[in-house]
Amino acid sequence: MEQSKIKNIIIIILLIVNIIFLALYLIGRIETGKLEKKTKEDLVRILDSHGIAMDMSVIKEYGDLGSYEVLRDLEGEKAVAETVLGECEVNDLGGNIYQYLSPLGEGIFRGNGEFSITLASGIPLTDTSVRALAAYLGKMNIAVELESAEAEYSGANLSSVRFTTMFEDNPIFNCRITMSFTDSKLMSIYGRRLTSTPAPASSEPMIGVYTALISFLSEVKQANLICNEITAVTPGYSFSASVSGSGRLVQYWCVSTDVGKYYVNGLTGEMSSFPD
Amino acid sequence: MKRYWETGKTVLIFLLIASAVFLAGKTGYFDEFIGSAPALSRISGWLDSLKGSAATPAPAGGELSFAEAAKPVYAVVTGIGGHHCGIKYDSAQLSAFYSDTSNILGEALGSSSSPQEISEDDWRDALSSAGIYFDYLNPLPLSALTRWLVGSEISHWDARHSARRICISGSDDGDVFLYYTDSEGGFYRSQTAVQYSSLAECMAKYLPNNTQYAFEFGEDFNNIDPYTLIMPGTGRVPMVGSSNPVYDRIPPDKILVGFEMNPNLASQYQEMGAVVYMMENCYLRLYDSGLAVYKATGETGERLKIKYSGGEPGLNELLEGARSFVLNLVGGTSGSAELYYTGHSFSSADGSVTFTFDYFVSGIPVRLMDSPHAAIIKISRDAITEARLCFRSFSSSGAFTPALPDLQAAVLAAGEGGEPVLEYFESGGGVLSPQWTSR
Repeated sequence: MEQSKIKNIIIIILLIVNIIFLALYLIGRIETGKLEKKTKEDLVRILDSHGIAMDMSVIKEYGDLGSYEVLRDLEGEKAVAETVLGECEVNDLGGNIYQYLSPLGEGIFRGNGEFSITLASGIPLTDTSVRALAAYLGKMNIAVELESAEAEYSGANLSSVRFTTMFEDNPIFNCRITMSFTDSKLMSIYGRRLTSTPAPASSEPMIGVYTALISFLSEVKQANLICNEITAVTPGYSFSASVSGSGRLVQYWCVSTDVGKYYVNGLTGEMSSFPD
Repeated sequence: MKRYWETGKTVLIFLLIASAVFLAGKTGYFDEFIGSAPALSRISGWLDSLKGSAATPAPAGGELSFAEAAKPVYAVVTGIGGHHCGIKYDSAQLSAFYSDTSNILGEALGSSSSPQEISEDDWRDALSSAGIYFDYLNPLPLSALTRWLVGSEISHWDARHSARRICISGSDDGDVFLYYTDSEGGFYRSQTAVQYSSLAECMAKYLPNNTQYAFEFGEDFNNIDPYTLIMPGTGRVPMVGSSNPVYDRIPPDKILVGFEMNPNLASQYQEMGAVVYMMENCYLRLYDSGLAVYKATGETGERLKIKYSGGEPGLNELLEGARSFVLNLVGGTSGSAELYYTGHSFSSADGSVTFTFDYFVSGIPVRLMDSPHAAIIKISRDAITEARLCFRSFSSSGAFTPALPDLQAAVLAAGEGGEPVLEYFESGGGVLSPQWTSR
């Protein structure tokens, strides 16, 4: 047979194979979509039978965020302190507590990521809008979620703003930074930050949103918590580190309800609380 | 023209093959096949990495790593008003307390100034002031504790410094001090760089539960150890079952491998309720009760060497070597029990060190029927030369068994003196019985 004809036959066979695989893929997608819709409906029904209302649109698909390992970076930490305090003298106080001293004030940084920078006479800030303060923290290499900003006022004056930090656009639920003010002067910055840039670490896959909600329901029932409505379910992280500075970012699900936020461990399904 | 047409067909064939492979992968029908073929799974992994969803394993560190060989079994959080929240006989609460406070303990040990001897009254004042208290039930070398928690050693904690009871307490001016009692009965204090706000944040999580130290009861308990912790509502403890996991959960071959003995080369024979495995220069007797007794009878070579850095292994490195050896063998089958270091002794005759480890369930020590300790490890220079391990598997169903409450036990102990300590006793029936002993 002519070579050209053989090629034609192969092309036709391959086209048929491609069409079959495409059809199988599309059927699979449709089936998955139907199954997902049914799972959502079942989940909403289960929650409803326990007195918890939830709109189906609350459930969104997210990929696995992955776990990360974090080791303390003293150089980076010094740079953070010097962004606010200028050139600093560094004192090792022991127990992995470092003190950064400058004429402007003092910074204390702990191995577990907690820190406080206290300014002797404050730094006047011309713009104290949430966006400007987030940008100020950005200069300190601390990414924060704009929507998480909680401002407090003393009379008409701004007294503090608190942010939740972020890693790769996802919130770190237990790393919060507070900036406090007196007469529009920045007087202190304190809270918890990542001790360095996280590096990917091996871990079990993150539980999906459905498993997270079932775990949440079981924990709510076990602890006799009161909750009437789930308003959002979003993924994020929790950061834990030891005194030595080695830590880990672990995936969490944040379940926002009418009575507050609950956090479900993305690996174990256990519920945790992160103090405000 | 025809040549171009033919080349186009060839290119189209390759494109259609690639498209078919891609679509076949997307259908999910061939996932199992891809997973079973190493070359294909590598391609699959590569594709995943392109999508950015793969996690790379964390790099392994070449340094010696140290882990806690013991954790506190009694704990107290004292609020600003001097009221205590005691924690005993509850593994979940002890674990939560340790998670909340181990960072502060590490920082306090790591940043402490040289310890100064203080009076017993100062120590009692510290216990009554706002702070946190740890009781390990047995003295621990402070250098080892610092190494576990901070990752490095502090020069002023040497072999002389050990503590069973540690208190971290704040003063009125915001300074935070580390207090401890040593094994000789002395009381010490060091200044630390811990921030009072860290301590206060931890204290805020615990509400008082009317726990008291024996000395706070006044003359009633003058006879017993003044730092005995008396907690109300302690009339029951978890019901715990024990069984021998050898053969069922850990085969003898695995135990031999744990002792770095080759099961295929070891000769074996039966002797008085035990199987004896012999190799050149060592033997292992494995009793039916779950007791394993190892002895090196000559030059050990590379067998059971302890990892260390520098010229000679330090106490902390020997302890870590013993801990990891014991945990590797006994820890995997211990179930709901924790295995804690409980002491060490030096032999002046041959310069060896012997470490002991015991099982603890919910912070309550377990007294075994067949052995004084869960593990006894003798290390000569840098190798384990003798070991006695009692394999046990403990299970706790969530049910409780009655136990004489702390207060009544203290009243009874007041006549004899000493320190009343609640322990689990193994009596052979498969269920541990809680009993009070006097130390």
